[in-house]
Amino acid sequence: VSQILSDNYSGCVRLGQYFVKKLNGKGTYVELLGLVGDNNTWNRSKGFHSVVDNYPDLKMVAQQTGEFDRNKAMEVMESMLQVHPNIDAVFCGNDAMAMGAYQAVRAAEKEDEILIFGFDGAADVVDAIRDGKIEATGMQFPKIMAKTAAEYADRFLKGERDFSQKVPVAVELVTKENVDNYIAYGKAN
Amino acid sequence: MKKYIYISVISLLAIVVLYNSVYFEKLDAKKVKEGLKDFNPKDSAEYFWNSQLEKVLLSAIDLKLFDSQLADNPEFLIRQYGKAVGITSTFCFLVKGTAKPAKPGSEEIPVDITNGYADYSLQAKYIFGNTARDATGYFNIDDFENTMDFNAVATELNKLILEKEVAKLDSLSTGKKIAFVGALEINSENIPRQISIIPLSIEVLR
Repeated sequence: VSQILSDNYSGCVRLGQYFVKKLNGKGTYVELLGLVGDNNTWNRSKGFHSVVDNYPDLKMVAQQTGEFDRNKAMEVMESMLQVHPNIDAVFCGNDAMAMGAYQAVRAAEKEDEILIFGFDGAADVVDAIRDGKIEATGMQFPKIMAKTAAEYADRFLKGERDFSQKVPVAVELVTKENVDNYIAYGKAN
Repeated sequence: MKKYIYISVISLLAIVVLYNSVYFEKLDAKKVKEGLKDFNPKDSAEYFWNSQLEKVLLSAIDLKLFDSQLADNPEFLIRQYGKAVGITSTFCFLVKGTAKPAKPGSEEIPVDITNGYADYSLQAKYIFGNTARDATGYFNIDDFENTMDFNAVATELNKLILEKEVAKLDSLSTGKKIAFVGALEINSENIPRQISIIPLSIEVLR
């Protein structure tokens, strides 16, 4: 009847713009993709690259899947750091991978040199942004999505049939500047 | 002898049945025959640009009006003129105004507005995101099979903006005034004081 989904692409456009701003439009970075068979992976990556690829001084030196998994992402990041020890940033397709990447960067004692960006709005990353360990994430709102789905189901059961087939839910950029407005997967007030 | 005739007849029947049951055809040819075609976001964006854009731009509101409503009654402004896709606090608008490019090659051009509530600038180099697509109100997400296609149209529209309108600024003499119609977005929960406008139409004024 209706699909309620996060607007991953727009969320990663905003993240990409912030990424460019934090790196002043230059530097090298790596990307940790999610599961390659998942549409979300590509919506996020495409949104990010639609911005970042316009800056020729920003070079992606590696791109590999971390399968949306923290441990896998840590292993992949460790390998990437061996080949590219002097990167400036890493963009991760979800927050679990961002935390895995952070673990690898910290183990390499490069946490003050490499900026890490995630996507989701998970509790540990919101805290990490507050602590300055992670630069930014794209906050999804699963509670809003669930509430909307329940409301639509109720209306459907009462006979309503006119629903939009796709209902994107905006993803908001969370950074150190505005992190106090957010909690895990939601807003503070 | 009868046995051989019987086998021959059966074999012939089997060949006839199989021949009519299985056929090979090039996939492209089949798609064309059945009217099926892979979605082409470039075609979709170009169709809009060439045949619908002019009509859509007529609905743009004057930037001075937008700005005064933003200051005095943003809820009314959003309700009356704002466009949004899905559940969001971000609303897009079509506005029209004037600007005077000062430095060639600038990423942004300050827009003419005196004592405005917000400061406005025209994007003159990079065009990102879905603002232009959503501000037109023309593209309906339900007309697309998936969100990737819907976003691909935004990307193609942004390319057209760069190619057809932003490119006009490269050959513009410094100090020449322009009239524009453009798209902007605001967050209703955090009304900005610095707003970027994506130009959908640029006209050099004499």
